[in-house]
Amino acid sequence: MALGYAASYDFSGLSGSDLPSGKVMDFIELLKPGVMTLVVFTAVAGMAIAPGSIHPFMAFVAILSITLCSGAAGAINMWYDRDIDAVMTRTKNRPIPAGRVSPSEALSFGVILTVLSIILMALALNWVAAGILAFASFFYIFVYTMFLKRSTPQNIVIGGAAGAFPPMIGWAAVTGDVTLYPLILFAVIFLWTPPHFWALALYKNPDYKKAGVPMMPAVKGIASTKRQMFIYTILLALVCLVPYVTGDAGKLYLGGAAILNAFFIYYAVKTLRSSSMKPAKSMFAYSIFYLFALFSCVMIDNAIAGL
Amino acid sequence: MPITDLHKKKRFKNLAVLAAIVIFMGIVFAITVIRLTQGMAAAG
Repeated sequence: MALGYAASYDFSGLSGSDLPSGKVMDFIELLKPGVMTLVVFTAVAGMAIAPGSIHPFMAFVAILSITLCSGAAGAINMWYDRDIDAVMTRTKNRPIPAGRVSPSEALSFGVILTVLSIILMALALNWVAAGILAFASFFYIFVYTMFLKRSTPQNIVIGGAAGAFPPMIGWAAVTGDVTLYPLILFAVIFLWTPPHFWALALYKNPDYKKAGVPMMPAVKGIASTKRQMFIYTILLALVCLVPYVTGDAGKLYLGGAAILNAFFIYYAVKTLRSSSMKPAKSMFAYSIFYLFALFSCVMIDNAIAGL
Repeated sequence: MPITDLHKKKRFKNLAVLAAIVIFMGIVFAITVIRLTQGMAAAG
């Protein structure tokens, strides 16, 4: 396996320049820190709103486990997608296509981190949280990366589930179970993913076409993608109301969610009506802010209700 | 073991791996201590 990478070299006849000169920063880049931030933030929100309490160090270990497991999935994704990444302008400077890290190093790194993070979660918290963490990783690597991404324009719709697990994992880390509220938050991220990702796919459409990735704009066309983005944005806005209806969240959350969704719908309409790619870029940037702000509302509302 | 060019080049990465292993061991040790303390407190 890839773990035999170092052993497969005859050290005596090699100078350092014969090997990929991967620096620590290259390995950090393999973890996709940008994606990791959103994952960790939504997981922290799940932990913050869960009833009950855990030891602060155990909370730290839970966050660390989720961070590492998410990053490890990113590293394995980069290992598998290295052929696509080398073709796309957006990704050609990633550590593997740029030749700074060897594919086997990246795979070993990802597999080791995945195993360690799941073990840590199970040791420190519970097997429910560790099990969901393992399933999310499995789903992202095997279902999304290896199957969906290259085979269907619905890749990020179904694959979006992988990124929707963190609030459930955070909740389960504290309580040891999963109830309706974390499932609603799962649905929120699940419905947020298509308009978020397709906004990027719209203005990176030539890149995806060049790599042969069947993204929605390349397969069904730009107009159809924009219509679907609008539909998902409306569905998202409706699902965001559910925590208030079920009594899990209060008026502060409702107000914040209403404003955030109003702007999201505004960007979706603007993207739908415009023939340029500028609104799609704005919508992509806003979608990231949206998720941070929405989960901030969830946490603030919960904190105020507990006073 | 002779110090080759490769050893020098990989020195920082090897130290980073060592640090990661030590941190992992430290975390597992801390988890054990906390679990023991909580267990003893629950047992009265």
